[in-house]
Amino acid sequence: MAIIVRLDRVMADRKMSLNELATRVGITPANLSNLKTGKVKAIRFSTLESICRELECQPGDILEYRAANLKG
Amino acid sequence: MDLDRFKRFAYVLRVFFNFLFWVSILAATILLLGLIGLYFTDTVTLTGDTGSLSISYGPLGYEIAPELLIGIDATPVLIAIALSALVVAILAIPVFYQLTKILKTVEEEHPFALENANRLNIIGMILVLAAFAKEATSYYVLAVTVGLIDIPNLTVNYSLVDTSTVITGFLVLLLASIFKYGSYLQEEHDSTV
Repeated sequence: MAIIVRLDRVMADRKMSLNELATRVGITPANLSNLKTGKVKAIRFSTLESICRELECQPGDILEYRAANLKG
Repeated sequence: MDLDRFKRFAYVLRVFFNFLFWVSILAATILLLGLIGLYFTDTVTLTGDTGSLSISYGPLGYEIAPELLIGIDATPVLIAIALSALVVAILAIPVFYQLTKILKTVEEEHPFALENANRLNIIGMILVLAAFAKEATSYYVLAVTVGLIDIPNLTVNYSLVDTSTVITGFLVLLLASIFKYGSYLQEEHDSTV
């Protein structure tokens, strides 16, 4: 996927564990883990807002666009 | 209606349809054995004191005079009735089975699964088939009975399809496509955090 989730990097910078962030944001650790590993299709603005609030960052710090390599 | 009551209702319906599923299997087995038995029976001759025979279809009913039944070999009528009932039982078995599976997913709180859309498709197709089978079997039984007893001035007309059943079948097929879209929306919802 062209959108890369950089949640692990920001979490490491803030020294926050997955369980702690999941509790603060109000989603399950399993869902947060899926988000971190890029297994989800979409993220709600409300979830993104909560993550940015708890990690004191901007959406752009978490999400990164990378052009897909097209072969042909 | 709250979710717990809805789930309890689904459970009651599932138990009921599960019961009907096993009754259908039992009926199909008995009818099949009966047909095999009739195949090996020479004749079943009516004596007149074996009771009365009436033909009914919809709101119409016709009581056959006992004297008309004396000495008649009833085997073709019995075969026609058993064969028709066997067709109905065989068509009912997958319908009740799929209904119990659907109700189980309702109890487990994931009714909008792609499997349910496929299950409703199966039920819809069987109902459309049953709409033709119902008329064909009714015609078969009545035609054999009337032909055998030779009731004066009574003819049996063939109607191609049972309208209410075929409409129900198409509605269930429509519902299946709605469920297919529902399963897509459910998947989108489940993969959104």
